Amino acid sequence: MRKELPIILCMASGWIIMLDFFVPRPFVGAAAEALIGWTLILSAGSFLMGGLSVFAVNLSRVRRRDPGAHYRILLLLCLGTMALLGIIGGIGEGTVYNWIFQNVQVPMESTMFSLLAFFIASAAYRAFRMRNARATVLLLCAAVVMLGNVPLGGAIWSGFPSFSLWILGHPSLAAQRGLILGAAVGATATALRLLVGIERGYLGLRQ
Amino acid sequence: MRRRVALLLLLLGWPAVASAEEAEAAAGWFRTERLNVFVALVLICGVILIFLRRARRDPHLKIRRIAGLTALDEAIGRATEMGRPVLFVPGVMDVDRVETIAGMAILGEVARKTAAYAIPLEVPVRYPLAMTTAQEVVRSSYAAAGRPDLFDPNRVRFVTDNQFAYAAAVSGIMLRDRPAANFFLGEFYAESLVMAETGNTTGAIQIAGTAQAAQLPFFITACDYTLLGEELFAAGAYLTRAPVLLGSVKGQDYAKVIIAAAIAAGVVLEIFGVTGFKELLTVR
Amino acid sequence: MSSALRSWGNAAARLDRRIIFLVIAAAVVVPLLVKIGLPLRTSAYAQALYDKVESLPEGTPVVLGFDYDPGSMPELAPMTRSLLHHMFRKNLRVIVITNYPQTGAIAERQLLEIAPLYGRRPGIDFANLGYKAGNEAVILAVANDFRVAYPTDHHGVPTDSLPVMAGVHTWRDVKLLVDVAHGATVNNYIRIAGARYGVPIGAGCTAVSIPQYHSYLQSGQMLGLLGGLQGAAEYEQFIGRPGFASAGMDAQSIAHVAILFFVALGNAAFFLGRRR
Repeated sequence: MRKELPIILCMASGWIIMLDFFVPRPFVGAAAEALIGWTLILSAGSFLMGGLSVFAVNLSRVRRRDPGAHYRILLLLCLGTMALLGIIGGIGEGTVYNWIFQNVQVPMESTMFSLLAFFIASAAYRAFRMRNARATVLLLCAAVVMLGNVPLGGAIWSGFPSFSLWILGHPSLAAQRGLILGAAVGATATALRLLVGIERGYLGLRQ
Repeated sequence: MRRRVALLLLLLGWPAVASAEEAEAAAGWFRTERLNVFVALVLICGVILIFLRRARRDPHLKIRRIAGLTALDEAIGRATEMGRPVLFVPGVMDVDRVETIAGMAILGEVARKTAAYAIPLEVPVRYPLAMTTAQEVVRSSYAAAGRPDLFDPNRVRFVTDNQFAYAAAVSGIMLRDRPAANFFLGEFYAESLVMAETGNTTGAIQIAGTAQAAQLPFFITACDYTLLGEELFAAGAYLTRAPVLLGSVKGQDYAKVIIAAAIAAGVVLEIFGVTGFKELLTVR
Repeated sequence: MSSALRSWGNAAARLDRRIIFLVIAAAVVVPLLVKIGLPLRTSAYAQALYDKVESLPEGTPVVLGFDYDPGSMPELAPMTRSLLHHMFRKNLRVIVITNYPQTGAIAERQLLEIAPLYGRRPGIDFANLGYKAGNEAVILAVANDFRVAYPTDHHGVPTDSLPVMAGVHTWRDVKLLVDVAHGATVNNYIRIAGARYGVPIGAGCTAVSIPQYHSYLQSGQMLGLLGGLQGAAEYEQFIGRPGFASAGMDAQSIAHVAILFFVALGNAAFFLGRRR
């Protein structure tokens, strides 16, 4: 039953949501609404579980004195401090919690995102090689799109923006559509296997 | 099994039935404006189900070689030789995403192999529900491999739900623990390049797969093998060779033929000014 | 000479990535300090979104999705700021929602900064419904009623008591949804709110996501798109308030050229290193 119950729950929930799309009866809609409400509650509750998990995992590694334990202590201190500040002082505008968020977390996250610019440059330097005709075409298209998407490209040649738009709207889009359609069919098949109870990989079971 | 499903449906629906008003009579039993979606769904799912049934009778269905999945054994073998852990990232989204489900299915197979070779498996996860799912998957796989003693729940852990904090954490794991093999299989977004490029600098063999078209170029650039789009969904069938899953993949291929035929028909009809077919395929 | 070129090629192929990082850093920082002022061309898709907002009558309820986290703020925050300026100037009823826990505070800060400039009042002219866990489940819940998905706003005030929410119950009451997102939420809105309930959808996205949204633009499922920093700069230009995005376009131009230079250098090293 331990293995059967999750499969049954998954199947039943999936079929109710599916029926709601086609059947306008209020009792179907109400059942779907109830399920969606439970999903919202579970999602919110799972974050409490996640926080406790972070606490437990890092505390155990600190106790074991694993390498880097001092960083884990810092993590636990920050976790506890922000949680207390949020609970005691609130999280609205003007609170200490909000100040730390706006002035510490936001710049840190923006910095992490900005690393992408450097990684893209080094990856492009390493990987963009004209090894064959197709790679050359790919490289030229990339150059046109890069120049077409910035003012400098338009200043160099007025055709770059429109040529870039043509590449994005035609050959690139054709490939994207193929990928999207293929992935959608794959997702449909996976969902169908979930609905009929065949897909058990998410439980660690083999079919 | 069917009775249990019926009972559960009734139990789930009972509060709704009890509270529903008698105005149902005017509601009808089918949204006719969505008939086209229903027909398309029946067609596509029907094809898949036909091949599912056929696979039960004839389990010897062929599936083309997918390099990234063939290299899975090579990657885990490399980690075993070097005595280093394996890192598996099952995507950065929650279990309500189909790609995450597909990633979890592959995680199960990877966990079986790492259990058999007794090498550590690190699975940092971005959502708590995904963490519980991943823990269950890895625990079951270790038990199936006969090594339940090796399962360490601390290695399958929730890190943070923040995108770049998660990328930083995974990068930190790669730089400190130096896994010999990195698997990025699931749904990814902007953090994909940060993680893949960091893994590239450590010299690990990297296998990635996602259906997010925007992230594929980054993985192709930084990883040794990349599963493109639906190859991720076919991975479960490829690795387990389960007849039912192979049948499903076969059905998917025929479903794509149907879609391609519909597109071709639509293009030809549009050229000749017949727009009714396009209207037929509009979702309302 | 030939061997000298070949050895140069081999050396260039092993170029320390830190040199690449330094050049990229300079390519971004210098134009931010020394303004070049390259003229910005606008795109049809950004124009379409602007025209749609411009066409809406006063008091029209619109939903603005703040679906990005602090990491994507430099690229996407200028979009939401410009959209808020435009929507408040048009006196639309702005309902803000988000699928990320920390973005409620980001949205609140922008609302409190921009709304007073146009005399717009919280709860009356706009509402920040904040964050709700569940992604697609939340979009489906709104299809039943906003009050089901968001019983209170970001401040804990009952949604039903907000004058701005009068007559706005489900997606069918919303006349425009613009989702500024760095992830998959746009796809969810198109698939559920757009396809099922007919809400006109516009979007703002990071540059890397632009190619995938062209399919929705061509099929008419999305009416307009702001793509990356360029899209944000275009919208700033439309509303006549050049800001961070417009200032950043010079830096982006030089950075793109720098990347292309390294790609050319890498190929030169590749070919020279192969010569016999």
